[in-house]
Amino acid sequence: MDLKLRLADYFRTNADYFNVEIQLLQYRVQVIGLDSLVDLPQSIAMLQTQTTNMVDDSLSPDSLLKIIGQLVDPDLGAIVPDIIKGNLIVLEPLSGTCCAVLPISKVVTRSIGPAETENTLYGSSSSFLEDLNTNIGILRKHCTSANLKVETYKVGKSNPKAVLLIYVEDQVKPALIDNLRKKIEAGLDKDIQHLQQLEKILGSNPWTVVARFNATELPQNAAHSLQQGKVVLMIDRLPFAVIIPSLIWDMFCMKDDHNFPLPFMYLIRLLRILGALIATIIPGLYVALVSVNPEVLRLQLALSIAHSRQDVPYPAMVETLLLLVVLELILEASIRLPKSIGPTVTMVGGIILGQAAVAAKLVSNLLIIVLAGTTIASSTVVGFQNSVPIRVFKYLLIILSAIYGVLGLLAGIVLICAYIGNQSSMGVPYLSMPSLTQKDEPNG
Amino acid sequence: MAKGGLQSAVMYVVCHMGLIFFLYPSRFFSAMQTGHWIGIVFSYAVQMTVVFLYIMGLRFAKNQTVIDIFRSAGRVVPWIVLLPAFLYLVVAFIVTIRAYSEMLTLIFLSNTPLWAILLLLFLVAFVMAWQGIGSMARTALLLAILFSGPLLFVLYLSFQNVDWYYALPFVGHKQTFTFIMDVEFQVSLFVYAGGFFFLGLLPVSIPINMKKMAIGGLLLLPMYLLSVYLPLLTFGQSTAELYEFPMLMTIDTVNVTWLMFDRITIFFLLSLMAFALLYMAVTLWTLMTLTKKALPFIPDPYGLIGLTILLFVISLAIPDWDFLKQLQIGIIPLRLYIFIVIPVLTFIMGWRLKNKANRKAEVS
Repeated sequence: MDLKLRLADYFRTNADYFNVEIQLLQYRVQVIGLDSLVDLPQSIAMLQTQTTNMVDDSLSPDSLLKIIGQLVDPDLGAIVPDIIKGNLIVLEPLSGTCCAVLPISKVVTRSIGPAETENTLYGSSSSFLEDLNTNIGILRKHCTSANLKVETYKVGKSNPKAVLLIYVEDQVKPALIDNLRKKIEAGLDKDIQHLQQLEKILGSNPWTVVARFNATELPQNAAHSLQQGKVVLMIDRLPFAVIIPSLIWDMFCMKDDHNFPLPFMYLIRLLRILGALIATIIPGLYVALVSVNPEVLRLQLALSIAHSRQDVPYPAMVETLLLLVVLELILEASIRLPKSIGPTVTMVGGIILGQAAVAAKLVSNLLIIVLAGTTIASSTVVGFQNSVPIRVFKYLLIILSAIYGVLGLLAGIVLICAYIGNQSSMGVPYLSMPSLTQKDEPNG
Repeated sequence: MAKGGLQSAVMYVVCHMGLIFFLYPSRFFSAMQTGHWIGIVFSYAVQMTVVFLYIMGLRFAKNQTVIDIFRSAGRVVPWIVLLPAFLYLVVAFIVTIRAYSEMLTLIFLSNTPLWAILLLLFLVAFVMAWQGIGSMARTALLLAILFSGPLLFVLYLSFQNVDWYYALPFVGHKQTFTFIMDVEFQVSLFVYAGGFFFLGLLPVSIPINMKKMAIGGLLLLPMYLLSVYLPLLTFGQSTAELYEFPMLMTIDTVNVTWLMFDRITIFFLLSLMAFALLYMAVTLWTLMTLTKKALPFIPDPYGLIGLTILLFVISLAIPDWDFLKQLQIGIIPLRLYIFIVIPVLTFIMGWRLKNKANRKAEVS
């Protein structure tokens, strides 16, 4: 069967498949591609402009096609991936030669805009997109080092995707990059659609609570980590950069902090650390003090707490868990809901948590304050994925506090510290500092 | 790693901090009537010397653990040399964990049964020991950062009721060194004895830096002094020696009007408990490492699990506080052995190994 017919047969069920005949110099050629990815009129115009300027019109079809694109074997297996990728196939039916041309493509990516999940204050607000090439472009603008290396891998069998491995050659530790390369090459036939699959390829324990990667939408953060000797992975269609390894300082520090005066920078970071501590400890402390160790408190305070809990019928742990679950529900709901309905949830939640729950004697006054403080504090850390472990840890502390009081709280904190101390991503311990040689330039 | 040696030094300091303030002062008040600083400085000097010898011995034998060093002298030698150390560490671990749980019952959890508290302490120590020394070293650093603040805060505040005249006389009229022979003094040496043995088992990834160790050791001197002198200056010798936990009593006397907590003892106790938990975990890890080397046929997690359960059962079987005291006195020979003999032996063996290596290098 003729190649043209076979292609038409192959793409029978694809409505966006097209096959038009145009004149290039003296040849009539078939132009084949997918309408949804290729801007056809523009691409044809481009091809024609390219060929009309050719003075020598005695070119063989072979050499003509070589000029306008890249020759490919005229068989189905070679052509189909090119078409799916969004290339234009030009086929000269008489000689049977064909080539893949990089067309003017339709824009299927949003334009560069501000980050959706990370807010910036005093910093560049353009963010990464779904399109890999744009992302590299943005990153190159931010990280102008001549040693910036970008390695491309095609990962996945049924849904091949481009994965980029980006690093600054003179900053990164060779062991880290070798390790990563090996892992990726070993997993070339596994699909990567999301970060869990990436985790699987990199061979880390999927049940860990602490983030193994630091995903960021902000190019300045990615560029900063590159300067610190970390590695950035980018996956096609994921609009963020995955930074490896993720360290505990990523929770508290970000590049834009350096745009503040130095004392403010340290104060802000201190505030974030304080926020993380408060968010993990305070709910547990409340449970411990109210239910097990009230004698630790000053008498007046203990009395006023007891007074506010007078009509609450169940133990402090149940009370705390109850309200915490409501809070988590509100957090989750406000992510899910469309922006126009979001405020409703906030308002309803505000009414319930603010007054009604207390007035109905379901929870104590103090608990509202404690939980409001917790929720606010747990959002002070940098990066949404970093606030998740804090949200999880506090439940461990609540349970231990309910059993052992302040001792349980302490044991929980020690356990959390031990857990964090045990974590590592790609062989780099979670608790290690970005090393001194990779410190910021004074003006950076 | 750029911070080479910091982790081991921090672990050394944190382990000792966990031990110093609880049991040490009461033993010490029983041992000495006047001139307490002489006893403290004496024990401290001995400790610094043996730790120095120990580290030098390890350094001579480049990147080898104590076990390897002794094994170079024959297969049976590590068994003979380290078995007493193992026994001492077992007893020390049980005594510490049991004493701490008694104390916690006394102060915080009068309604909680003892076994429940023991269970919690064992659980935490087990989890930490299970994760290995590398994570423990990092955990130590994190704990030190988190809990040093409250600790120093409390120590600063506890000068509130100090009467400096109690420090007199600096040297008693008939001050002699006979206190060295006192049983209570020898019991008090436990804070110095068991906290540094783990240095000899550290893997290559956690180097020991002599300078940082020295700084760590220097940091400990004021702690030893404070642990004895704070109760002494607050109560005086004759009152202080009556208490089981003089340091906690001292801090209980402090009254801070602007704090929401009635007693600042809670900060103090909890911070030190964090350090003590690390000490227990490190001791458990040491025991596990020794067991693993001695009986390599036990598969990995089971050795630790078995050890933990065994220790748990033993510490439950201890009837009361007096028995603990008797136990403390009973292991004095072992204590002196691990305190003095092992470091000196390590030094000698390390030195021998180094000479051997040098001779080999000369010959070739």
